[in-house]
Amino acid sequence: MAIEAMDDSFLEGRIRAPRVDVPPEVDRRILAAAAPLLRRRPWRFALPLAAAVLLAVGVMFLTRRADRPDVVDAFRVARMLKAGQAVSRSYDQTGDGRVDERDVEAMMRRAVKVTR
Amino acid sequence: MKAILVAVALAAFVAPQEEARFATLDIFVDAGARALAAWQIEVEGPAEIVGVEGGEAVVWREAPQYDPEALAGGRLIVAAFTLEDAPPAGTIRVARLHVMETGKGEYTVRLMAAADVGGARFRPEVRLVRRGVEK
Repeated sequence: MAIEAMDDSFLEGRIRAPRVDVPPEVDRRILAAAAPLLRRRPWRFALPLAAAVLLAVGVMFLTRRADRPDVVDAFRVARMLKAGQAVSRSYDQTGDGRVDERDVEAMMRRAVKVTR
Repeated sequence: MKAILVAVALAAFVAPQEEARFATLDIFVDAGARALAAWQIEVEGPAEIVGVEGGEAVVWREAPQYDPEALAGGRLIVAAFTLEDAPPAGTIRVARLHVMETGKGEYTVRLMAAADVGGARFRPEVRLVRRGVEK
């Protein structure tokens, strides 16, 4: 039998749900029970969500700024190196395990880097 | 009608384009009584930076550090420090920028960081002077 020729009339009443009449009283009670839920504003999460996003962006911005050395940092490290003082390993920009002139140069390059 | 259209098209084609102007921007730092040992300044304006020079004092004569990739972008950060024991105080020209102005607008200059010879941060005045316009 060709598919086009199939007749689906035999499905009538089996896959289509029969109409059920809900009494008005039941309708009212269901609506009354749902009323508190319907009154809740769907945008009630908007303010906390916006605050969380702003906070996250602020933290990212401050962290990025704090990570970026400026000329004064480079100058202080250069002074310490010149004086032969011990310099914190936190200034190791090149990752070679020591702090030297190359780290000062790397700090300067980062200080003047223009980000768009 | 055709003649008018051709004339309009030709006029648009030969209309003088806005000429690029070349100028210099002198960056001054007024450190007051403190000996300036490190400075970092941001300059922004309607121009492509075509050259960066040092300043007038011996300690600032070398060109400051900058990001070469930023020269065409109209915003540049320049910075330098000296390990000299007695760098000058007062008002000093610390750098000179050569620019090709491609539009109209104001320049802005902003101190990002500075330190005196002892390594202490402070906030000296900074000033930008546009000079020597050439065509």
